[in-house]
Amino acid sequence: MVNQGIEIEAANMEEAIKKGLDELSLKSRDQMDWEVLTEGEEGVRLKVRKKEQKKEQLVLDEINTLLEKLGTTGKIFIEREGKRLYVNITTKDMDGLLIGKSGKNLESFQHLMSRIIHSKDNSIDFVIDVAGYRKKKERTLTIRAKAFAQEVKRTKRAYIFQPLPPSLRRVIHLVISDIEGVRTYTIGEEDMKKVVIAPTRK
Amino acid sequence: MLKDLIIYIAKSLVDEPEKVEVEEIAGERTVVYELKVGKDDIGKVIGKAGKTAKAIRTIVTAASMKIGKRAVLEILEPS
Repeated sequence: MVNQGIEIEAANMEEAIKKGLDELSLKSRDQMDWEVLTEGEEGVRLKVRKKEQKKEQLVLDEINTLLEKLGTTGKIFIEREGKRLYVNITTKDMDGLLIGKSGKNLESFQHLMSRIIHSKDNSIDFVIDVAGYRKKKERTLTIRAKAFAQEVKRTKRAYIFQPLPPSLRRVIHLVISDIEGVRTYTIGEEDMKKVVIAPTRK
Repeated sequence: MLKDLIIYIAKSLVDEPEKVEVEEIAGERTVVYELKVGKDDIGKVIGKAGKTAKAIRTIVTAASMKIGKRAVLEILEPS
């Protein structure tokens, strides 16, 4: 979206700023930049635009708001991993509830935050973690994938993983792409997608 | 608190936040929340294969467990 800004006319400066915030549906004046076009007896004309927000800041704000609505607070740690932002949240009292059984709730949390954040800026690529759960799971999955790859090479028989969420399937694809003699593909639909490690065809 | 949470999530997802309504129906042990959104926004709160609706329910359940209550979220068809 091109941030051209819009022109606002009002009787005085105060009203013009208020009107600007209203037009851009912003809450506070530090979210807005403005430029005075004319100012005089007959009123004020401003050019207003939404302040460019850093992607990290947007993610941080949205997560903080949701945590507040959930009745908790937490520490949020954001790190750039290539194109992706890795966002780790440690809450005061609901890490377990946000992770859920085998990370089920974490996937819902991720899906919801993606929908919310992408409705504001769909170019943000981010992955949410709670108390480092996903990182740990990614690590064990990497070790398992490497071990299964050796097994597949030895036996020439494919190995099929349990259904996994997209972010974890990605881990397996990445790990296997570095190993000669094996390849990966996905079978199944929607929530039942499984990664297969198979020997490369000769 | 749970009502606020549901309103917040729904409003963040839809195109017409002013049409979001949540009704709270308190039962003996369970509280039922009825969510209504604008006609064109129903898909946004349900999502592909019901994925978004499931995610909202999961988060609402987590929040309700934290305060020791049982909550059910119903998404109503727009009339």
